[in-house]
Order: sequence, then structure tokens, then C-alpha cells
Amino acid sequence: MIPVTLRGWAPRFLLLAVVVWMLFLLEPGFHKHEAAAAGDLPLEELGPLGISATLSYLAGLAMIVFLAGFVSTDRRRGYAQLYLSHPTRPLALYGLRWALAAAVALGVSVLFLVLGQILAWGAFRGGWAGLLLPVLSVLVYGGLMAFLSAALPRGDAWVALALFLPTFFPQALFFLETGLNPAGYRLLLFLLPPQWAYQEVYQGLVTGSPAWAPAAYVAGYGLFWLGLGALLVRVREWA
Amino acid sequence: MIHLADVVKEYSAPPWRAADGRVRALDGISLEVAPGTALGIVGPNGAGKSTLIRLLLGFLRPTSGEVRVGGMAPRAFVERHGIGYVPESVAIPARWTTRGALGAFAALGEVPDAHARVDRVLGMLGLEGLARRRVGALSKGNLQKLAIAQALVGPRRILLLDEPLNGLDPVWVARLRGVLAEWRAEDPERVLMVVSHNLPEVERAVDRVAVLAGGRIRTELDLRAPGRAAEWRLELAGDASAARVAEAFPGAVRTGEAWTVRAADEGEMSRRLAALLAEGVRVRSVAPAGAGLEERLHQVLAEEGAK
Repeated sequence: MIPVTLRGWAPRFLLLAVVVWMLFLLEPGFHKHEAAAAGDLPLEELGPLGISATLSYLAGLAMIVFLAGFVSTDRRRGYAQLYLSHPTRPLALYGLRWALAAAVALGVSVLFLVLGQILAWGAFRGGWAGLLLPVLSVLVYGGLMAFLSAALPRGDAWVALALFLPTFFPQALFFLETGLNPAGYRLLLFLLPPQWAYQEVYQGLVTGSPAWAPAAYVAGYGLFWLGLGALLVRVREWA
Repeated sequence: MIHLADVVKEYSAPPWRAADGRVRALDGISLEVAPGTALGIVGPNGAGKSTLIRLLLGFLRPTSGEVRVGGMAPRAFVERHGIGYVPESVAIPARWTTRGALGAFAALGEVPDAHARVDRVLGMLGLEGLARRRVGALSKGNLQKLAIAQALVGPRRILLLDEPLNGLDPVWVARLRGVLAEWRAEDPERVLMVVSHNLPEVERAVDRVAVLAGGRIRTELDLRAPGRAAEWRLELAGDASAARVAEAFPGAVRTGEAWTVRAADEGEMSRRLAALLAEGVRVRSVAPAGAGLEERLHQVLAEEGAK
């Protein structure tokens, strides 16, 4: 089933290649050494560990791209009825696809870390610890996609993308804050991917003092949605 | 093999469709299907036929009542053994090739010697020449054959076919009959269930028919019951004398232009017919006189409507 799934993902790999290229161009550490001198960014954020924020975006987007419609499309178009008439468990079938997407997302993150440095700096300078952030993104956006795809008949990837964008453009949260009452804003922050915790993990990485509690919070957030998605796949009817 | 006891299935529905927000698709179905049975499910649109099939696959859960397949909950049975299934609307990813699709379904079912098995079902359904064609480029008939092929790719004990003749040309309708007969002959314990509006084909393919209407089984017909073929309808050319017919077929009854005659089996029928022909009588047609499935279905539904 793995080769079939990978072949079916060919157009998604192309889309991810565009995302990779875009993020390579946007990564400050690869292009803005002068900016550090001008004081725009702290110097440590321009080193190998500074890339981890971009790796986190990349892994999150990869999960959205590869898991778009992974349960909902099968259910809506009726593919699931044929798949699940064969001796297989829904959790095994969709769990395999999820794991495959996670493996691809992390694999692409590793390639970005290594090849990006070689392309931009001419040498690999390390930064393996920075892979913690993409691992967390895989859990967060993989979890959200699992839940959304199991719960919605369509549009799961668009909803996930809408949840992703405020993390990419933090200014959006400011506008939301001004437009909502404080309780609504707090609820929204609770439901949205925990950008504040990401930020603490990132700062911990670049300053060399790991922030494990925020990392656990982010992982727990992702695992919560992943568990809810798995539960829906297990208990919902398929016709 | 299949056991349903007082099964009710209700769907939630918008208030403009049902005042209480519920639509009852199945209304107390009880059914036993023994190993080796070929059962047809017939009935008008909306009778609950497809819902019944989906319950057996575990895609739906009954609102009340019990469904067991092979002594297990349906989903558990399917996850362990699989059920060959052809849905009413076939959906297979359009980018897959015919062979790739069968390979994927074989992989899902962990079919031993999958490559050889895929080749075999491609051959059985006449799809060898289309093995590399994309599913999206297949005609409706060939897509239907692919759906049947995927149902046969694994060693299944139960085959559920929901309108399997959709899009098939008459040649393949007849060939499918042979494919199904061969599938049944491989293991006499196998169970075949066919939902179809093509009543003559259902009559040829199955031993028993359950007539479903309004979510209930109105009657079950045993198509292989002894004596069902005892009466024949005989049409003669020209004006044959009643005495000659009565001599060849004692007790023959004239009904309009035709005769209703009795013979225990095809052998006796052939012998008596030969005697009649030897008398110089010319025969226009001869056919079993028992009411056909279509006629009996109409009869059952009319009786139900009159109640």
C-alpha cells in the first residue's frame, strides 16, 4: 500500500517543492547576514538553530499538504467502502498514511536543514537539535488534520491552513485580539496551535536552554487532536 | 453464516423529510443465510436493500436488533476475513491503473501470491488489455468489471454484489453468470448475495430471493424448490387436436392459445414432447410455466399494497 500511496502523492510532492523553495527564500539565516549586523535580528537566530522556525513551518505545511482529504475524500467519494471491505482496519489504513506523511515531512525537514545550509553557506554547520520544532509541528498539524479530516466532509486542509496562518503571520492574532472580548480571545488562543509555546521552545533552542514544559504542551495539543481523530475514525459509520 | 434478528436501522433526517427527525430504512428485518446459499435481494427503490448490505459490511450499525456474520460482529468479520463487495456506485481513485488498483486491493487484503491472483482476475473479467489503463479512462462497463475483479481478488467466503450488472453489456452479463458459478463451485460453503433490479438474472444466479419493501422482508421465495419446474407452457403451431395433446400429456389444460402441461423434469418433458412431435404436431414454443420472479414480485407487492 505504501508505493501506491506515494505514487498518488506525486502532485503533492510538487506542491511541497514550491513550499520548500518559498521557505528557503524566506529563511533569514540563509540570506540576511547583513541584517544581523544592522541589529534587525539577534545573531543566534541566524545560525543553524535559527533555521528551526522555518523547519517547523515546513513540517506543518507538509502535513497539511500530504494529509489533505486523507479520510474525508475517501469517505465522501466512496473509496473507503471498497478499501474497508478488504481485511483491514480503518485505523491501520489511515494510521499508515498518517505515519507516511509524518516520515515524509520529517525527511524533507532534514533535507532542508542539510541542503539549505550547504546551498546558502557552502557547508553544513549542524543544528540537529532544531529538528525538535518540526517534530512538534508534525504532531500539531498532523493531529489537527487527523481530527478535521475525520470530522468534516470536505475542506479539512483549508481549515488547517486557516489555523496555520496566524502562526506564520502573528499580526493576525493582534487583529483578532482587538476584535474579540477577552474570554473569546482566550478560548481562541486555547484552540489555535499554541504559538506562544512554540516561541518558548524556539527561544530555548537558540539560547541553549531547552524549554521542555512548553514542548510537552505543544506535543500534548497535537496528540489530543490526533487521539480525537483516531476515535472518530474508529467509531463513525462509513456510509 | 449471516444472521439478522429484528434489525432496525434509522437515519437522522431534516424536519421537512420526517417530522420526528428520523427515517426508518430497515424496519425489523430477520434473515438467516446458511453457508452455500446464493440469495437475491429484490424490491423497489428505497426498500432498504443497500442499507442491508452496508450493515453486513459493518459500515453502518443497526439502531436496534442483532447482525452477525460468521458468528462475529460484521466489522470484526470484515477486518479479519474481508467480504467481496461491489457497491452500487463504484468509486476507485481515477489516477490508479487497472492493475495498480487490483494490486492495491490485494495488498490491503494481504492476498497470498498477489501478482498471480491479480493476473487471474484480470483474465476472468477480460481486463488484461486494460491492465495499464488509468481507472479514470475506463468505460462504465469496464469500471464495473474492475469493481467485480477487486471483489474476487482475495479468497473471500462471502460476496455481496449491489447492482453488479450496472453498465455491463449482454455478453458480459452472461459471462458474469459463469464467473459467479465458478466462484461458488470453488467452495460449496461460499455465500453469494445479489441485489439487483435485473430480475431474470437474479433468478438465474441465486437459489433464494428475499423480497424487500418499505424496510421489511415481505416474503422469501425458494427458486429451487421441488416441483417448481413441474408445469410447462406449450404453444403449438396450427390447430392441433386436443386428443393428441392429452395423449402425450395426460391432464393437459388449454389456457387460451397455449397449453399448460405437467412433466416431473426436463427428461420426462423431452420424452413426452418427442411423442407429440412424432404425431405430426408442430411446436411454436415451450417454457416453464411457473410464475417468473418478476410476476411473483409484482404479486407480492400488490398483496402487500392491498393490506
